[in-house]
Amino acid sequence: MTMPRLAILAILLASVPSHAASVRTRADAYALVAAEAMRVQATTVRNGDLAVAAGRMAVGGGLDATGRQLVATSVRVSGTATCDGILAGDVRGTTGTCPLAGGAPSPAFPELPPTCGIPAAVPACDRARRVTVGAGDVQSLPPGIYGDVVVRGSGAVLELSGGRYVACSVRVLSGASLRTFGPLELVADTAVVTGTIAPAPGVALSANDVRVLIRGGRARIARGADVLARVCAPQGKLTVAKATLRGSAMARRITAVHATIDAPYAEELPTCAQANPLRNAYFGDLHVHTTLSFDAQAFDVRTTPEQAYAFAQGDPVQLPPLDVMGNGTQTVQIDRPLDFAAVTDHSEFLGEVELCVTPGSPTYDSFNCQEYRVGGNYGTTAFGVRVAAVPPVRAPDICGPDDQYCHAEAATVWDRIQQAAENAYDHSSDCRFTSFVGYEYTGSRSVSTLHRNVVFRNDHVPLPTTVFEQPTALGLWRELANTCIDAGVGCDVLAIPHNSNESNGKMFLVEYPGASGVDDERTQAALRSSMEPLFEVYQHKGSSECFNGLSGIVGGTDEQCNFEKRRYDDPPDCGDGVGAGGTITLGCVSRRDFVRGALLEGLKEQQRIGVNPLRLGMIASTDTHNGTPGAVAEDAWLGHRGTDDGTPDTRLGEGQFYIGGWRFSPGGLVGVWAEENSRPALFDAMRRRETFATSGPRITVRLFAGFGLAPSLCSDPAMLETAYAQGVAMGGLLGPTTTGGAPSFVVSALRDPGTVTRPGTQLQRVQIIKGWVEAGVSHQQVYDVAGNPANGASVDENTCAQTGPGDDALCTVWTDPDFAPDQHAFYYARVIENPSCRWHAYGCNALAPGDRPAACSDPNVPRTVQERAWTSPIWYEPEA
Amino acid sequence: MIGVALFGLHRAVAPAAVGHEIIVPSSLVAGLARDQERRSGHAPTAEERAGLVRRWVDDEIRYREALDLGLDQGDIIVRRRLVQKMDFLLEGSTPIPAPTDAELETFLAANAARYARPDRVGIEQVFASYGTPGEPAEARATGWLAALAKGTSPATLGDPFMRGRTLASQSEADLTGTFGPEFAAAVLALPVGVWRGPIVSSYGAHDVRVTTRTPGSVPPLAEVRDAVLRDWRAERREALDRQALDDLRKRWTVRVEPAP
Repeated sequence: MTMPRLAILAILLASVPSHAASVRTRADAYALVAAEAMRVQATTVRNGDLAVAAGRMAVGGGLDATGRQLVATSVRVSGTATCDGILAGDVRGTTGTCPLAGGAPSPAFPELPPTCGIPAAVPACDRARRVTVGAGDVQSLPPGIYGDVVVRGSGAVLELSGGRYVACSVRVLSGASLRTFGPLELVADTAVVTGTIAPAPGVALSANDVRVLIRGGRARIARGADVLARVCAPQGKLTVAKATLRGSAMARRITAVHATIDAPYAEELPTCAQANPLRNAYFGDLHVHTTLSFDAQAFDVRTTPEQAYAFAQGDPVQLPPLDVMGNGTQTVQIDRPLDFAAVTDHSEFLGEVELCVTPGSPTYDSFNCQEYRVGGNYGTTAFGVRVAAVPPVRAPDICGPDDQYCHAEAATVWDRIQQAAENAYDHSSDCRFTSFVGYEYTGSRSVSTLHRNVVFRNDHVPLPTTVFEQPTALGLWRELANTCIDAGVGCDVLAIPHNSNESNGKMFLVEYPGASGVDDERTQAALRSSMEPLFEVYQHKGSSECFNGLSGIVGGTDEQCNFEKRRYDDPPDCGDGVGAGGTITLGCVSRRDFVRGALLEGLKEQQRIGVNPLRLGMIASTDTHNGTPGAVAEDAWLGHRGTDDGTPDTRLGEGQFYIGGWRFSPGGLVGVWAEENSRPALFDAMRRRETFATSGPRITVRLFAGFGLAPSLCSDPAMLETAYAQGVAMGGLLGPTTTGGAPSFVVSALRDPGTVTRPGTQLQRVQIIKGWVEAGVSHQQVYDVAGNPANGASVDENTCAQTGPGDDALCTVWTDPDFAPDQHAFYYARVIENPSCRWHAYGCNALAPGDRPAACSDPNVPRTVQERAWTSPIWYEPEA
Repeated sequence: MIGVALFGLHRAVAPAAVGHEIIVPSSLVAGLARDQERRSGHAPTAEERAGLVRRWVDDEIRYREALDLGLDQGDIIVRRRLVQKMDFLLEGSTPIPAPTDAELETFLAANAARYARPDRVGIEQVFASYGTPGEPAEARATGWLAALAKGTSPATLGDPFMRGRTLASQSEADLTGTFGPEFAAAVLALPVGVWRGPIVSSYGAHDVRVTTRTPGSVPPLAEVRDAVLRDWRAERREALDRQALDDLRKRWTVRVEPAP
């Protein structure tokens, strides 16, 4: 009896299209999610599925959800509908164009997040602080707590800086618009939008960065409204009628009529088992070169992107010198896997390298390929001068007519890079490792380092941009906006500048090429700040935090600026100008070559044009050219770039190619506070700058700012819940207070927990660095806020044994004693370890005294180091 | 000088050029015309076509004469290209057949460690920091155990731990990365559901309750099929390439002359 039944069941199951038979569990895969009920009619869904977690979906006529799934407990279809398939337990009225695809569990959608990623205990609105913008008016509003916000009338514009805004109600009516300059959390009890919610002109953001949380009962997006946001009304009823939602919506009940909905593209991924709304610390490396980079290849590095990602997860890699079979002869391995990494090979020459190292390629025998194959410094320079030229120029004898060979080869190599990232990404709910697709844009005008790492959110990526097509950073940002964020292809991207310490004042020079007025300048500044939310403050080629003795910043000497300097000579000061040659440690040095100076320039621009182009969060990475992400241990460093520094002599001495050798270091790591270890969670965190940098150790640090934060937070077990709800996290914007008083900062740091073989070093102190601009003059101030700078800890340079007291954990609530409520300012924290041996001392100590290079006994070469972590800044924004 | 020498050599070794024939296939002429059109932007005229063919034939004559003279021998570029062509040929001659599920299962079993998922626990913890003055951390943590056992909320006890009070799905590596090496092994050994402590970390003493435990396992093939297939192919490819070269080697005897 059972056999025939099973056979029938098998036939039935076989007829279900297998590609549409599973319910996607992540909220970001959906255009519309209702907890209880949904009605859709005459609506076009361009991307994202539709779901009712537990309840009925009523589909009226005219639903065009081509390629999308409908998921609910029960679905009623009346009239024409197009979809990929319906997943529901009970379905009536399906058509051939929207067929039944299978059953659905109940609740169909298990992950309806109660607060949509915004802390549950965000303070209530303040009825007394009503904001009204009328026809023709433009008003700017810093983040904060407000009452009813009304933007109405033709041309009325409310500009938001980004960050968190709390309102009693938000009404943006026909002809009016609400524009944001940065990632936004807008919390309101109710909302009516018949106007526009979108990024400000020039700002390149996706709906992932604009979150609207409706806490109350009702929200309407209607009558011609155009909204770019992810809207969430967990307790309420949301209506989208005769409107366009370039984003998604989540609510208790949803009605969509005559609507167009286009949710951001999301990769298929289960929810990570580690998901934590209070966010975990994940460590990674976002600056990694492999054999595909022209300089790494020239120095005999043969590590592939696949091997680099495997190395990040704990596998060994073989480094040059190569044996007769072409295999590396030194083994390197990390004892703690990274959580994430991006392979970022130089986009320039991806095709050229392939053409020149592949016998039989059409231009293998070209003169320039032969020059390149000489290898080493010679080969690297043969290509390197081409990116430094003004304008940059490819080699015609390699690239062929119209550069066609180089473009074609680069596209092939780019496919391999993407494939390596895809294969390394853990798609299971363990979420053990995240890869990002990326590359390095190698701007090098007149031998100054103007490099940027380009990191993509997902697997929808355009071809890499090079300096040959876009010689300027502005060109890069515009191309990334045009071909990625604004292209409507599900792509999202950010660019991370680095080694401004070699830029001769150019990296953070504020300029607006071709701008014909303040509006153009604001647009360019907005593009810059949205495209470059982060900065790599530390890596192999030293720190770019600060530099003592340069003009243009008032404030005492900060002795911690002497950490891992790039220039140990006495370079000339660029002043307000620029120089050349920084990549090879020539030319002048500018206050703008360091992030502190850049942040101050940003404040000046904020005051001048109302937009801050340099709102930079902090990361660090290695910039390894060995394909060894995360190889930061000072006691085991085998070098940075193949045969360039593959022996103790080349590393410990003066260096070969350019002034380096003992001046260089293994580089650092990026820390990210994210809900889970996945591309969307990490990328969102990078956009909101909830990141920190370390010089290598796995120090963790949190920074929050707010008005009225309890001084006892450091002994409150619920510190995190309170700080997230009442304050802003690192990277965020702090608006003014109506109650008076100075802002408080809670900073909490844990030392590197260590491993069995490397126990980790204790902390010495925590500092807060404040920067502000007063009467056009830039100021800095360093405050010691926790720990003890005179704790007496030390390290023996010969044995590397550490002595003296230190702290495992430091936490304090600090209030700015010099606060001026009408003054823009930024604050970031710096966590300093007790002294430990620098890699150079380990390297020298390992050699017999007679074998040591001269630098081993040079008193100018640092032998100890105080490793550290830097948080992203928090910016204070007064009333406009 | 070299030219004269070569010419002399040619005269000495080459028979009179009688009966040599070069056939120019029509497909080749079409290809030359296409290339020219891409370079110049217009289809070549009849005259240009004739010129293209003449140039190709001139190259071909020199090429064949060079082969007759043995000029390909001892040329490292020619050698390298032929080696590479041979590699392509060998790879193509032994395509990798699609594996059966059984083969993949065997591969997965043989390399289980590569795909294995570790034990994972979810924990709640209450933290006593070494940095808090007063009573020692271990004593404070011990003091809370009774209250925790009676159901007191862990959210009301202890010092804040800035990496979280509740941590889901933690492997030994995850716990080590957050708490240091001493902590992880002790926590993984705890029973589910009961508060235990103090357990020492790099930062202080903790009371810990394991809330969930997922034993590690080697995942079924279906869940790791892509990775297994990728690794299986890479291993097969390497083995086949090695085999092909080994087979060729058997056809040759090699004698390395001793140094004079």
